[in-house]
Amino acid sequence: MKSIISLYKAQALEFMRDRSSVLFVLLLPVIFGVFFGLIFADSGSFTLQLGLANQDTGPLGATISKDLVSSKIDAINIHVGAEEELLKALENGEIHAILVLPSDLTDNYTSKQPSNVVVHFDTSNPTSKDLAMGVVTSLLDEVNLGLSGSERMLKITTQSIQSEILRSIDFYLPGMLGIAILWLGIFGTAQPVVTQRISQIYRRLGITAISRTRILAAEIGWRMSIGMMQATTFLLVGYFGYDVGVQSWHLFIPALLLGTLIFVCIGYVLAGIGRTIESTMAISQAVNFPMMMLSGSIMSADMLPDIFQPIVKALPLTYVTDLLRQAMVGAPANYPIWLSFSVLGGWLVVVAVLAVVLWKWE
Amino acid sequence: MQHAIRVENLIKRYDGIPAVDGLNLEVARGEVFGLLGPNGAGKTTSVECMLGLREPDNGQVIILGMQHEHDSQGIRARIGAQLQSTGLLPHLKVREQLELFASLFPSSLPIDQVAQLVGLDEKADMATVTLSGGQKQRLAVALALINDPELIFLDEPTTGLDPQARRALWDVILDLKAQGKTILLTTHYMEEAEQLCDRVAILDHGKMIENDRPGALIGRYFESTAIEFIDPGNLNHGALDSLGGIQQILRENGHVTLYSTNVASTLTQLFTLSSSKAVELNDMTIRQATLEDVFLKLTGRRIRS
Repeated sequence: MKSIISLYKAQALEFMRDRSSVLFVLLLPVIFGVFFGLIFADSGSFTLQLGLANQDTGPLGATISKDLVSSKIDAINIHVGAEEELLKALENGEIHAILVLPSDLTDNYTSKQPSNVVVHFDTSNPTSKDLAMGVVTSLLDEVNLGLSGSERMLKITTQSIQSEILRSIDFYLPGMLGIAILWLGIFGTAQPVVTQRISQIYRRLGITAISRTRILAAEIGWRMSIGMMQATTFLLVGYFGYDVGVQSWHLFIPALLLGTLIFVCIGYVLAGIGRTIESTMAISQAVNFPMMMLSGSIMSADMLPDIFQPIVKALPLTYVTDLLRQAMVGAPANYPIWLSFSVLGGWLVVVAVLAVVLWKWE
Repeated sequence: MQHAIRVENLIKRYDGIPAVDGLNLEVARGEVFGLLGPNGAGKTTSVECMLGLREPDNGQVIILGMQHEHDSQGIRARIGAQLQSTGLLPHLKVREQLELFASLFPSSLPIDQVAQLVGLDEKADMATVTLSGGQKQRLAVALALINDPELIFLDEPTTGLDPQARRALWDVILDLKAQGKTILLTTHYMEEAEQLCDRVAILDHGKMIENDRPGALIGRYFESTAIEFIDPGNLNHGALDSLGGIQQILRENGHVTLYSTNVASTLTQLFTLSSSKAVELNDMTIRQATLEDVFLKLTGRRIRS
């Protein structure tokens, strides 16, 4: 254990004294987080402009419309009108989304058949799209619950909608934490590992009495610690700067640990593939850029063309960010929690095996 | 007595080309043994196989009675090694570097004692990245000594050092020798081998071509003194061979080396010959034969050519 602690400490000193590592891995993601925070913090009072087109001629559509309008939720303004008229308003950017109650809503309800509720979105705004989706999903959940139960049909409260999600900083801060973990793997693992391998540091350690497993245990342990430091920094900045905390530690901690482990392992895989610093940089960027742009961490993945959607669904950062948003700000899940953890578990197995197979001591 | 190192028919190939080709050697305990040879002779690959860093394609390596296949960690606990690339963490201070490596062994010497031994005690609080090449090399040697090893491998420890730093490192090695440590040293400095080694093995193209005490090797091949000068080009071999006392003539890299058992006679006749042919003899040196001459005789070229 003494040897693992010493190596851990040596790696920590080496990291902390290398200013570029500290800047890239620890500070830059936080700076980005603060930057987005400064830009979007003022739009924190975002109010969803929701169009409501009731095409149902029966009593159910009218009741839902009436209840929605009278619910007076702070974060939502409801505009009732015809679908065509509302679509024009959506095109003009006057409203963010339209909820269309179908003409057969009452009939279907009477015959216990499901109805298709159409929702139109303004896709030009990256944040409003996700935020609107969250709110509308919550609204429909409430309606469904009301229809299936014996209670009053609509029982929407500000609390249950979680109007906190309607701030852009809530979208960006967990996303940037996801990216910070990604960068820990790419810039904080792959490149330092290749540098140390080229400097023959691993080779030198390999002729001491410490086992190679212990060397790797100390390495991975240290990098996991950086991940925890990053998360702590984000949480402090979020909490004191933007009133963003963690709503579910039970979800946050496993998501953070699993995500960090996956991206650290990806870092080792990249280091195993790259032979030089330059080639590792190139391979790292080839992983970094699509992961950043397609995972929904800094822009909504729904804005992307359909052709990209299979890639979006395959990326681990998509699920890490989704889980972090749920855990930190109570954002509605894009994917069920069990699915996110299953996909991430699969990723961990694959990248851990690849990291071991591709590892090079020199 | 059990040998510190025993290597039997060691073969190591890279892409089918043998780097080490059937090496056999034994190093006794307490001996300073030199592996000599030019770059690419197979010295480093041999050492790497002995350290367990490379797996031999054939043959056996027994270190302190153990084999890497069965007890690699046991071997590594009892040996120390300085490799050609120092492999140091650049931002750690000298003391931190020594503390780290001390913690990687079951037992170790006091940090200050090792730092003092290699003359780095005053640099203990300096970051490794700020050390000079010679200081880094001494630190690498210090790391090889930190676990008080029975057997020490030093792979070209003085390459790239200035003469003063080289002498300082020689003193360290001689001190270790006085303590009865077994040392395997690779070098292409023949003077270094003559100064430090009890026995040397000369390697060329992966094969061992000679193996004995430095003095015995020189005596075996030369009872003569070397007279060396820049080859003027128009002194033919026959004319030189007819000079008195000549034992051997070597022409290589624009130099002529005459090995003579009668220096006075050879020189007198050489000067007569040069003046009769109006030939200038430039940069002439007269010296005793060295291991360099042995290598030149055995391979037909200089060790650093």
